Amino acid sequence: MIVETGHFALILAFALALAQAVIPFAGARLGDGALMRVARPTALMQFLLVAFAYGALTYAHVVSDFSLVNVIENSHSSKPLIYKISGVWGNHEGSMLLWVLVLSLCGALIALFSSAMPAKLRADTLSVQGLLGAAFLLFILLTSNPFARVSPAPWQGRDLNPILQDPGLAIHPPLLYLGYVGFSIVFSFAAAALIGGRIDAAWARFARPWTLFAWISLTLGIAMGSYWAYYTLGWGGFWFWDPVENASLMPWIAGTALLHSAAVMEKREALKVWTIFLSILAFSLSLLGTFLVRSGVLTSVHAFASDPERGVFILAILVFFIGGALALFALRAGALPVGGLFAPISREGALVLNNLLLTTCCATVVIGTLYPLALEAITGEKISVGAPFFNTVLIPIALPLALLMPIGQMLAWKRGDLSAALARLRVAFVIGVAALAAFGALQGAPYLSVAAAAVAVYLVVGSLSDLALRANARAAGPRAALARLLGLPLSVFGTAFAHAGMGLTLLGLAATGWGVENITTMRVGDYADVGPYKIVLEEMAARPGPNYSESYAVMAVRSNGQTVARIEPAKRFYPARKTARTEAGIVTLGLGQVYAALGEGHDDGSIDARIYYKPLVTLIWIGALVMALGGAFSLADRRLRIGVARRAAAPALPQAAE
Amino acid sequence: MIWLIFVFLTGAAVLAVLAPLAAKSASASDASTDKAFFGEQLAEIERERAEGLLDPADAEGARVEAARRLLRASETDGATAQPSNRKTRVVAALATLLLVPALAIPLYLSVGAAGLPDVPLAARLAATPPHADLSAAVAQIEAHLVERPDDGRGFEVVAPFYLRNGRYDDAIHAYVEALRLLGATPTRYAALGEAYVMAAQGEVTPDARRVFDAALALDATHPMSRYYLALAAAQDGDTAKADELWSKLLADAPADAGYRELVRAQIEKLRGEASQSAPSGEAGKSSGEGPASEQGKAVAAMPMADQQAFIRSMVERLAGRLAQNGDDVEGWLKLLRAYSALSEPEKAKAALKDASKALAGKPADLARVEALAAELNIER
Repeated sequence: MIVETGHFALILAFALALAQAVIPFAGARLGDGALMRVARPTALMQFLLVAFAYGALTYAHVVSDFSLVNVIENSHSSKPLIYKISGVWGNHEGSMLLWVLVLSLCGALIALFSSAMPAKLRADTLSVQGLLGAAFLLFILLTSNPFARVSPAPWQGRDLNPILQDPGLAIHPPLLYLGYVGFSIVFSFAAAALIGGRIDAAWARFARPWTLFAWISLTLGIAMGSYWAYYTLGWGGFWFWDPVENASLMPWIAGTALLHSAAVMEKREALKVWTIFLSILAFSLSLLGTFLVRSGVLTSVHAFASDPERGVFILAILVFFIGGALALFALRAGALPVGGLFAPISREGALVLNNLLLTTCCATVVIGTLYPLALEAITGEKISVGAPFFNTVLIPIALPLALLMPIGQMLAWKRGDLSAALARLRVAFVIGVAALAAFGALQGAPYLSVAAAAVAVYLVVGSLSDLALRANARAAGPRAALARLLGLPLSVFGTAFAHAGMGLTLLGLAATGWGVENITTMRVGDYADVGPYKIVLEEMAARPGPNYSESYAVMAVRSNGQTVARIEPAKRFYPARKTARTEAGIVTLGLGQVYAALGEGHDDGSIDARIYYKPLVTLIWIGALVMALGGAFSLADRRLRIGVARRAAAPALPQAAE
Repeated sequence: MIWLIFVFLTGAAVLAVLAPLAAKSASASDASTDKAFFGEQLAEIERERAEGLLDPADAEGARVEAARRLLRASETDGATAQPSNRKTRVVAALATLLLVPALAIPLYLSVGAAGLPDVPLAARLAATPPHADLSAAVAQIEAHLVERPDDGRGFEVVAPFYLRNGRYDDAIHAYVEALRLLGATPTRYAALGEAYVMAAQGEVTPDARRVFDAALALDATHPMSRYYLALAAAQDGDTAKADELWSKLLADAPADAGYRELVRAQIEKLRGEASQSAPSGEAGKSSGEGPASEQGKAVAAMPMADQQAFIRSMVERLAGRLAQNGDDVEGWLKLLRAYSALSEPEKAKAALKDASKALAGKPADLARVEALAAELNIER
């Protein structure tokens, strides 16, 4: 009964979403306050209904109700409870339901936190959100229904794909979806502003926190996913330029650009049209990502043909919303008022440059992802666009971007003084050059790593030196400086931390060039050298798990004759799906990691092992955490902000923003 | 009962639309929210100036900027919300009241299953009387084993079921557990060995040999272990050793032992093959035919692993013959049926492809093959 009630609640949510799309929209056009007021309670009710449906599906998974096809295909009665819960979104139908759940949650959040918002803007925003919800609910109900039943029910399920039976699955998709779908809020805001034909002064004020919220979730989701890939796939890689990964990177880059242009818009009322465009772009890329992952286009162009219903449906949704938003943009953007003026060398100017570089990065990723798919669809030729392409194109953009980041931080709004900004960064430059010399001397080739690492060090120091300079502004002794530091606005910390986090990630990425890899065959008692460590294979054994059996090796990590850690790389076999997966043995030593994965075992008792030493590798993810922390600081800063132009000595020529 | 809940839910959903339509309250105009927003902004600037976070000059600049924006906002602002029209409200309310249920209920009727109750596994297991249905009983034991994974008897009971249903890995796991928990006996070792053999599609693997050896270490006369070790020798091509082992087994066997026939058949087959393969290499000529009736009986008497191995070896020979000479539509049909019965979808798929190639010049034959493929659900 719970299951069927959940099913009905989902259908009801669809009907209500249509009401939410139509009635407030009509109200806004007619100027009817009562109709516009319908938006908020329907958005909340829609969320409750979807949440109930989601809860019902989770219940079915937890109690192993094998009358649901979805449970049969993705669960097993002996699966640990946490994977019964996370297994709900470990499959197509369930993950689409999670997508819609997050979408309706976003709608409910807008409804709850929009008291100060102009009624019309709110009505239009929630109406667009309702339309999105209705489209995806219909997609679920017609092509991917998680509540499909069979009777009589079988006695056992087919278990969840073993790669997904991991704590990573419990965290990664929900975070990623909060990010993807979080951009829907900004998208709806943008669409509402275009429908209404005016961008209220408060627009950026409302859009910015949601952008930040989505961006933080997406940052954490991507970092989590890459760490998960790193420790499960057993190759020591953390990013494969796989289209699924690119699907999450594209909205992240667009979101980062949006974050910066929204800051300009909020403080200076400039870049309005551009910000609106980026809002549409960020969510469009999220939709594109969903389409790529969910339609089956990715596994092969032919899989698309084998399940045309789903692919065509999502494609239709994609075309309708992206096309609709862009058409609206084309019609209305010209009518939007032009905002504040600023000189080329100013905080705004720096942020425009940032936006240009970021959109170039984004375009690169889009092309690198879609070109092979398009080529295969048209000519049938399979090519793989991988790391070489992305590295060649992205590194020459990313490194200058990193060089410019602290400089932008130092520039004033409206009119900036470049030489003064550079002078304030001299400490960072000096440390950066010292780092270049030090890395060059200690690590040597590859030189790209040396250069990138030096830029990264400069970026970290430069980002944080903004804080130090502001604290020391009036040089009144350390205590006063500390008091001033603590009194600084949270958003200043936000910028500094987010940029420093980027620097840490860059340092971790640069250091991958200095990693050491040892692929060898070992017996018990053998040892292998990897970087500064000696790995000794001490023991090989087997043990049973709850729903798998595992053969594992105990390896001691030694440094200077001392055992500093033990790792247990393993291979697991899952009988229900008859599949195996490797479980890497990882130990963090300092900021680096020793990573071991087992390969084939041989009859003579030896086993293939891949052992890596990865210096500073943890910085990649620590950096992402610091970036997210920076975002959280900025989100916590609830001040209403207006950027102030400093009185410049020489008047610069102001230019129009758009 | 469930429809009562549905009515309640629908009511709640519709109410979310009706309540705000019924409520009376004047909505603020956009201009007034703008003004409120800038009022807050000015207060904020003032507070920051008071706390010393903002230079007085900067604060002044910010105030001017905010005032400028407010001015611009009130210039562009034209539309103020009109008082709500009663007629539109009634239309909206009626439309919602009618359309939401009119959309939800037919949609549910087409995709939902209203009569189907929840069937949580635990409740099903509790409700099913033991031995009502073999699969139910097995599920019951499985549930029990999740809670009491140290119950070796449970593993020993479900293992043969797994074996019969082709769940070889589960069977191996269960036999390993039974051995570990209940202690080693020659019969348990041999049962595990047989599971290994069946999992390997009739091949006596090194794992299997190891456990049969372990069984013989406990009881040197254990017939099943001896039988399989002889089979292992035969598979290695060591006919002399296989012959010797089977002959000894036959000599030791009690007169009423059920396996005597089987062992004798194996020995005959062994000797027959040896004499046949000596004069000429044309053994393949007659081997593609279906089992003669005595042969079929012998197959039925074999242990399961052997039956499977025997059937597989026949199918393999058929496949080999068709690979050399593909112009044999009956052969292809037989092969497709065999792979389908052995649940080998990959091989069936490959065979279908080969057949289409081999019979490309004969549309009538090809059509028969394709019709069968469709009937057996073989993917292309």
